[in-house]
Amino acid sequence: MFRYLLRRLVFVPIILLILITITFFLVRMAPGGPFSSDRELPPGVEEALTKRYNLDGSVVSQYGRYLVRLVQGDLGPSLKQKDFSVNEIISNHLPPSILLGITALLISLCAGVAAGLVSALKSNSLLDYSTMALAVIGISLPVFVFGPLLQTLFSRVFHILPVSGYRGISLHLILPAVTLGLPFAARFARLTRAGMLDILSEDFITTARSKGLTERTIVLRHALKGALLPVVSFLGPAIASITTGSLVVEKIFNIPGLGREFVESALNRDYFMIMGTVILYGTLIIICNLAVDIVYGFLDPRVGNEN
Amino acid sequence: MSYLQCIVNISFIACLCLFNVAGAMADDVPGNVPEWKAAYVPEGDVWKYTEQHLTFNNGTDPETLDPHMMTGLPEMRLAEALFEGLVTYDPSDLTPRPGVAESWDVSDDGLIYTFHLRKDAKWSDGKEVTALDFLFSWKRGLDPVNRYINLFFPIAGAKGYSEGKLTDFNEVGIHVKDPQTLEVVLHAPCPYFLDLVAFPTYYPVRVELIEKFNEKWTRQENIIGNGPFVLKEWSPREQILFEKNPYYWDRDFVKLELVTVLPISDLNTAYKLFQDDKLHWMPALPVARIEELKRNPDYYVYPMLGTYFYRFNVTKPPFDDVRVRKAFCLATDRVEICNELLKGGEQPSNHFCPPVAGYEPVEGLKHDIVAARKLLAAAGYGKDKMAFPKLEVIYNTSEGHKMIAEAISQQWKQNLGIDMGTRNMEWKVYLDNQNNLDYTISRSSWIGDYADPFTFFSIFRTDDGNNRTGWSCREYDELLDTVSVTLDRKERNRLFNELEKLLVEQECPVLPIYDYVNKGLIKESVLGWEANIRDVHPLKYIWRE
Repeated sequence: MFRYLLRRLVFVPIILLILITITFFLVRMAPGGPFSSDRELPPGVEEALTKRYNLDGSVVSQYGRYLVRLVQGDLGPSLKQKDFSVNEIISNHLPPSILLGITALLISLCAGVAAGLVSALKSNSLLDYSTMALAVIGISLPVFVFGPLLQTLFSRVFHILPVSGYRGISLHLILPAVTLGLPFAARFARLTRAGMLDILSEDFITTARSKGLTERTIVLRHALKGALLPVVSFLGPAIASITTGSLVVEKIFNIPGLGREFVESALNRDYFMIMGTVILYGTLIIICNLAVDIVYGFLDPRVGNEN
Repeated sequence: MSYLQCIVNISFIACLCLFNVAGAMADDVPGNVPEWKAAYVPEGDVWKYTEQHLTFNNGTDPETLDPHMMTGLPEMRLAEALFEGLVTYDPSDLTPRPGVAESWDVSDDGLIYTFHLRKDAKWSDGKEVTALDFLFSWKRGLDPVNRYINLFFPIAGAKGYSEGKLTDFNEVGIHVKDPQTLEVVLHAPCPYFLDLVAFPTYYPVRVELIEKFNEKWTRQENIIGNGPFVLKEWSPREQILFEKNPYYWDRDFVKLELVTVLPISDLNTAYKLFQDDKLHWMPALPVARIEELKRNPDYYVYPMLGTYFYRFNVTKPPFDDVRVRKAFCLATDRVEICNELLKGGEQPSNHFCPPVAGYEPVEGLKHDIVAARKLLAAAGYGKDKMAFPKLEVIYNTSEGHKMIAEAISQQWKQNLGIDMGTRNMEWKVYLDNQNNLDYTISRSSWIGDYADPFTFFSIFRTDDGNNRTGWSCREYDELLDTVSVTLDRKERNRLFNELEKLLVEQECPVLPIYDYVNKGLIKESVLGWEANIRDVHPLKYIWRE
């Protein structure tokens, strides 16, 4: 297991370097630049800005200079949010995203797995159908509809939760977390249900049943671990994406998270900000996938045996 | 406007005397309050028992708080609270009013401006604001990383210095006579120069602070300003807090103690907060709900110094033919666009420059289908003649632009029998296409930088970076040269009319659609807030009751 982990870790910087290189050159190929606007810049201004932001010289030489600074931990300046560096923007906006993401993940995991289990155990009942119908709605209902709906209901009609804003761990977190978590909860429910139904038809469950074990023991001791495998493998990318924020949820609830930066940096051609978000997201995905593989080893004895 | 204002002010003062509260007022505001300012002195003392805390939505987080780096209105709205120029805008009609400068003299030839700075002008750390501060700040503003650098160019030598052709800053027309006197020499008369001096790029900044902290100088712990408010908190994308500046020279006049600025970009969310009384002013509205919002008593709408229009690419057929351009202008029904589609009070426009500073725009080409068809036939298109090529209108991705493009395209189809496609483009791609003249018709807009028609007409000079139509007209360029040295208001307006006739009646490189309006919601409890064409609402004058 340890050697396997080490081997995977060695590849991390290589994967990241490939990612950085592709992104760096790809964003430069996009039409328009960071300084173009509907108002022509006075003569000389574009050159001055280019120089100030280290965007002069060939793209290859810029790439070289970027890597040198990157190794020193400097992600460069933001070309749009002119008073902040990319490092500062990420450290300002990542914590709210992580807090919101983890809350959303916990909510969706509890709700999703519970709903999935119930509908698997009562499969083909009315309960099963209605839960799964809800799950389909959860997946297909756009966040920009669900969010304002919750806002209207809980803050404008019942006046129990705040409309928007971010105050750390507080009531402000509930509506955005539920909004962000809904599609994930729905996915978790469907994955749990499918996994559980699969496992319940396995031979070893039939054996357990014939031994006269209670249904409760069968489900919790024998079936659940295996049934959650698909959930766990989905969890890796889910964590990476949910903790890096969501543009729509952040806009609706005015949360100072990182999701906005992903989208807007690309639209603004904010070159260094794009690189920063891509590097962050890439690293997170790699780490999460690695963690999932480790957890897999504990849940599924077959994976551990190979190594 | 100013006449009306005058009457209002006089009757207001008369009321004060009648009800014998003038004495109370004198206690509140020591010294003489100029007449124009009296309207912003609260009547009675109800306001004293109201929490002087204003919350408004700025729609976005500022890109910067550095006056020399900013480009947009949301940034300028904040800068105006933190800094003060020599001259400030009158909140109602934008007339230049004393700021750091107590008064100023202009030489008869309009070339030399002498500003007399007030002695009690202070920075938020208590240091005096002197003429030298302005000299250093403007020198910094002439660094070409300032995107509004061209607003300094009326000053003698400024352009040459910024381009490096002039190395000695002493030769630039900015001279400190003594700590309280600043003399500015222009290279040519500029009737709107005072308007420029009120613009953020002319604000004073503490240069030594910038040298020390670099781009971090605008942080709450570092920034020092000279405006009516100081920055108490800047939590990016959460909120910005302003507190009254205890060192501000006119502090007794400033009523608000605390201002919260929210950066909410989802306007439906902002509207919910407004309904909950958590927000007192929102200068942008969720347009899809305009019908509902119009019925709200807090709704306001008034003209703005901006125009929405289409550019023709005149370098490529068929729009290299003026008859075709005219035909398209004549076949467009702006009234329908404004009244049936936008419904927000936008003014249908056949002109390019909205009415501003006494300027009355020309009539332009009115909706006339018969004339349009005739012109198109004369250009050789129509039945039994050349088929019109299949072309597209481009616009940057937005629901509103799409709606308008499709409606206009439908009108052309109906009126001219021409099928124009529409295509959305991501903002930067759209700009690239427009810049490289890689389009046929392109959605466009222009917002004036200062209250003078020159800010509109100058962009269509041959090869101006903002022309972006490929259009070049010698007569137009010559008229621009003449108007830029003409000081007489009447003569200027006549020349502007000539320019506009060329632009929208004879040559038509552009198709005007409507004049922008400012729309928003403001609580009745907010007083001292005035409508104006620049959407400038200095917080200094505002209070709550």
